Amino acid sequence: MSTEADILMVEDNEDDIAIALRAFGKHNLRDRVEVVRDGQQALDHIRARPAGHIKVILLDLRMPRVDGREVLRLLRADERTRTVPVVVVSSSHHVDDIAACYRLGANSYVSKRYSTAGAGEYLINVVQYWVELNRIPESPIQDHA
Amino acid sequence: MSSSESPQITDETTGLAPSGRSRVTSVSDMLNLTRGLVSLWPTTLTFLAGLLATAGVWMLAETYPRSERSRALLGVANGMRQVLEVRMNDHLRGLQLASEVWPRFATDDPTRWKSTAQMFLQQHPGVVLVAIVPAVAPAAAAGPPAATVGASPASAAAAPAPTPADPATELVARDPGLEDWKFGSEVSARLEEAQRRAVSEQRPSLDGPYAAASGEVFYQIAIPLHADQGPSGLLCALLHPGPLISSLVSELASGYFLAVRDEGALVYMQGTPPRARPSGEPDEEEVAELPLRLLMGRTWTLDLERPGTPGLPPLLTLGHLVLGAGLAFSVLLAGVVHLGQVARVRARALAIANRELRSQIVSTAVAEGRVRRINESLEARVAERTRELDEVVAELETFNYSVSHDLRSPIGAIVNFTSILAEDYKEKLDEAGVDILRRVAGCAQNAVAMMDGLLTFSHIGQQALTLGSLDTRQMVDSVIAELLLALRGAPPTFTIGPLPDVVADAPMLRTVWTNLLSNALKFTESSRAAEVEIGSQPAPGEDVFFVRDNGVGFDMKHASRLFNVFEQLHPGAKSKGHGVGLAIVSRIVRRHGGRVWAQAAPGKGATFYFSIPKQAA
Repeated sequence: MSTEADILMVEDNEDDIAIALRAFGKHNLRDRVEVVRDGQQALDHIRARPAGHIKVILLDLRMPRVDGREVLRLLRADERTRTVPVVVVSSSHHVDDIAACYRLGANSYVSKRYSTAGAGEYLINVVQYWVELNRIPESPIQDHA
Repeated sequence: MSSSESPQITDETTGLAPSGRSRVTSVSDMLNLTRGLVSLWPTTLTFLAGLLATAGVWMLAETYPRSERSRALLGVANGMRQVLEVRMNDHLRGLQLASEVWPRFATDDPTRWKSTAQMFLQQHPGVVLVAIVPAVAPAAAAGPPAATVGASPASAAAAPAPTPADPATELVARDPGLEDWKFGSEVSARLEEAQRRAVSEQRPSLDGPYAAASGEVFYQIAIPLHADQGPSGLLCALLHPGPLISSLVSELASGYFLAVRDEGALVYMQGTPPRARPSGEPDEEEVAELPLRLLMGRTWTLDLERPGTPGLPPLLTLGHLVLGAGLAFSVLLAGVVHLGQVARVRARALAIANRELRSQIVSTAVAEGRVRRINESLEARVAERTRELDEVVAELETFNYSVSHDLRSPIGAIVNFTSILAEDYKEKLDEAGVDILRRVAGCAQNAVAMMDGLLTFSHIGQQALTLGSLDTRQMVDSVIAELLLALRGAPPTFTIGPLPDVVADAPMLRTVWTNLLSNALKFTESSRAAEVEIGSQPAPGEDVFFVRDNGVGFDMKHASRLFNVFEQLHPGAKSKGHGVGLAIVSRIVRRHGGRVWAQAAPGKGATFYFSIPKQAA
């Protein structure tokens, strides 16, 4: 059994955290979600876990101390974290942000949605795919070169 | 603007101080101005000087040749005089010498005397006869020479003489010409008289002239003989000066009129006597009179004259020629001076014009430089302003983006929390409370949609165009399909005409079609038989597309505001549009170099047009 959370939410906005956690709770996913408030905490948390433990990271871009881009760059630079799935969840619609994130190795990019039709429900859709369907290597992958 | 103001404006624009003197606009004007400056004084003075010189030369020409001619005539006459004097006196001196020798010969050797006398005659052509004549008694009626001379040799021999048989009395005469010197008795008497006088006075005499019967003029030379030298008496000789003078000077005097006179009596004459001169007194250049000083106390006169000029004096004398030529020369010189004067003034005018032109060129260059500097500074200022404007625009875009982005989260949170509240606590709220919460969520969501629109709008302004050839019909079909998925009511009837392909940024053009078509769908939602027509119109240099609906339409007086941000087409639109869609369409089309416009009437639908420029293949 996996008692420890395998979904990492990196978000500094408490409103967004509250909305997200409510949505996760409604879908019985609350226990699987760990929330950190900045990039440094995220890096520390990820590096303390074995490779393949974290199923998905929901990464905000604009954060204090180490921002989302830097987190993404450092994760992809580290062999042990190179394959951890990262979904950027940002309020930015900007194509430059989107392009930059993919260039840095993001697996997905989602804009934050505000809708009366179900607060935070879009996150549930995202997480369900990465947690239930997606598969990742158990050990660090080697470069062919 | 009146034309009289333009020079002032020119000066203002060029910044040139107007020059003090009047501006000369062209070189020809300058030359015209100087035409009056050509002074006539130099020309006049030159002409007068020419006239003066002509007058001087004319006077010289009038006087110099005259004295020259006179001198020439005198020279000729002088030469003749010398020749005549020498020769004549040679004759006389010869006779004088003979008078000392011959008497002795006559007595001693008459033959020798005769031969000597003949020789003398040969050497002295002027003497036609020589004879030694016994002294004639003063009482004697006629001297032997008279008889001798006056009659004939035969009669002379028979003439009474002191010594009739004396051989010395024989005549020695030139053979020819005897007939020429037959004198009449009167002349003979005078001959004897002269002989007697010579004897009595004991000095040689040259007496005459005696005109012979032939008309010839003769002179008698009577030289008394000294008694101690032989027979007393006279040496008589007849001088015929005419042939002598002729032989001496006829050639010299040819072409002249020559006369040798002996106190009025004509001794010799040659040539035609000049006609009487109208002025009476003959000019000295025409006449030379010289004395011929002979031995034995006689003086003749030599008169040499130029032949009379026949007819009137010639029309063109040297003086006339000089005068005419001088006059012409003066006129020519004055003309040359005048032309020189004109040329000088023109050259000066040209120099002034050149200077003026050069200064104008310099001024123009200065003005051009100034204009160029102004232009450069203007361009620099425009570039600076543009850069500043770009900065401001960029700042505004950034501001727009930041505000939209930063507001989006809190307002989005309101959307979420109100919906959570309405959902989680609906049992604790009555129906009115739930309705209020829903309205709050709706307003907040509207705000989020507007911010999303603003973000897109801002994004379109900042993003670079990626042009590519697009299949317009395929894009339109795709957009319609997408829109129909989200459509809740009955779909309208689509009529799609021919749509040309375009070169454009694909995502942006898709946004254009999406916004226009969703607009059409929104405004026909309430219509019973909604129709949307999509088509294109031919236009030069661009492709014009349109989207026409039969919806609510709008008043054309609002058309100018249609494409501004947050302009709602009509109040009833409510949450259907967020006021950014058409602004985004306009921005995209304008970024492609095209135009957008609309035509509509309330209740009669609307047509939105946009154009995309054709790309040069």
